[in-house]
Amino acid sequence: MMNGWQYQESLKELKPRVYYLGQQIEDVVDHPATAPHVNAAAKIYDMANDPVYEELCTAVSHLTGQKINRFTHIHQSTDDLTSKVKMLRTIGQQTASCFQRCVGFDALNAIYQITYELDQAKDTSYHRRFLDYLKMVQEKDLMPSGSMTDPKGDRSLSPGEQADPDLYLHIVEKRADGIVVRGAKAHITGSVNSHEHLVMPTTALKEGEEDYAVCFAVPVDAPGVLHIFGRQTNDDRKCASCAIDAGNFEFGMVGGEALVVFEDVFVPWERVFLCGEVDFAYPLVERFATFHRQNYGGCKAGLGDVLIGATASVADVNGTGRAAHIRDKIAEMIYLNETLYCGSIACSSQGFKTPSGAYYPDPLLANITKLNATRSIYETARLSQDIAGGLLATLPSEEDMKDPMLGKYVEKYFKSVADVPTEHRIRLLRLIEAMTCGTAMVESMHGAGSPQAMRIMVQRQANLEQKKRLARKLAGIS
Amino acid sequence: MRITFKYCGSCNPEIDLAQIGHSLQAQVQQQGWQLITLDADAEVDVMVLLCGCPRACIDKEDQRHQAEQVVLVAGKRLGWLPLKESALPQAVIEAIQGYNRS
Repeated sequence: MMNGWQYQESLKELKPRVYYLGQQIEDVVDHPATAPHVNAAAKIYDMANDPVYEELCTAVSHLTGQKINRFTHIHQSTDDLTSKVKMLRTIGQQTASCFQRCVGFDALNAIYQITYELDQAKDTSYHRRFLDYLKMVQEKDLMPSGSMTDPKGDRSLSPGEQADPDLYLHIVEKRADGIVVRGAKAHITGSVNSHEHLVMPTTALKEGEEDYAVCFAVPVDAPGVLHIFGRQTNDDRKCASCAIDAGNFEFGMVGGEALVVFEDVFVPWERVFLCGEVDFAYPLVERFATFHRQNYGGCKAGLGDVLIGATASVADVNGTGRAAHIRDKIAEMIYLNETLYCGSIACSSQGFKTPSGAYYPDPLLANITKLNATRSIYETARLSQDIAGGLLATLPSEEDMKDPMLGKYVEKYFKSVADVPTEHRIRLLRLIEAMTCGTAMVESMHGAGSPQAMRIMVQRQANLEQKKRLARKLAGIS
Repeated sequence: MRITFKYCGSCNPEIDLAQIGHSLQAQVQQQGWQLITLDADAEVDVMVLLCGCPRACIDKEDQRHQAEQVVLVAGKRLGWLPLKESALPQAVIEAIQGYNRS
């Protein structure tokens, strides 16, 4: 297993094409826009090597018997599913940000299961290919991205009906040695600091759309792959002189998402895991989505722990920590956060074995978990902002705080309780600002799919007719 | 053939286990098989585990040891083969017939 430093060094050996604000980023490890996200992912590698966290952050490979980073593991039990959630919460507590690696983790597990079932159904050999790939990922401790979402163009049209066929990634050529693909994947978490891209289809497909039914892996610096790194709220604070203003300078906010463009990218056959089987596109989407929605009561509960701590600390610093209404609001935040965690634990404990032998969380409960996240995280943030006060939106800059002439006024007029330095108050408020204002909140809404995607799956999974039968029986209707 | 049914409890089912059970009971009788109650001394040829969802809570090793063969209904699946709810009873009977022939 790599540690954080080795992970960062391994990224330096790659040469992905990454662009931001019109400029090419030569080194994602050191560039201020991308460095916080690299740090967050590096934290995972360090925690796996730390005896305090190794129980959660490592596993034993069912393929090789070797100790591996859990983020490359295929779940072998409901205990594995539960450990995943606990691990995510623990890392969230240490980073207060997205650490990105869960997306590729979920892609590995979804592709593992689906390629097995596909081979069983159609006598293909995708699973064997994927096992070879998985062994390589486990042995080298690689971080693949999970690249699913296509740009989608006109949402009223299916992939094959788009005016521009590239709005969904597709196969443009099949050769004796592999395939050539074109298209893009949008808002891909951790993509610029991954080693590989694991690409999956994004929606159900029908006959005639075989070219869109494609799943494969390529290195991030494969010829034809380029990344356009996204802007975030307040991303001009990602500079050494803005360490306090950034709020979470070391680990940043969310996952450093990018648009990943595939301009006629060649993929050798041994890295192709689905090619034209349209009837397995949606099962793969659903499998991945469930794994990813399972996570939101894990990582977000970890972030919630930090936010609750920051909010309670600000209340103490403000001198309001003992007020009954503040304590009540903190209790409400804890209730919301633990309820979110309950969902992830529940869908994990109610997970089940699939034909490949790998385990899968309860899909209804996993979708409910993520649907809760789209509401309760906003409510938790609202309570935090309520307690923190309007300073969240009006604090002066770090430069003014450190200015020889202005600094004494900032120190004097932003002072609260006497024994706490003003800078500490400002640091806490900036952390809350980073966690509750802007980009971080949108991730809670749309990460792992927008709320409507979950509602559709909830409607499919819940047995409404059974509920009607229960009601009719008790109402005396035969 | 001595057949027994074991229900999971049906807490949050994908399928109507009671209805499937009734249907199976009738078909077992039609086949001339013996439907027996599961107890410690029972000799069982086939145990049908009727689970409302894929979690299949009662599918445990010690449970399986109580019969020569086990047929698992796990929500809308026979074993791991996805099936429509309406097709499950017949599929269970065919699975038992398969064991009977072997």
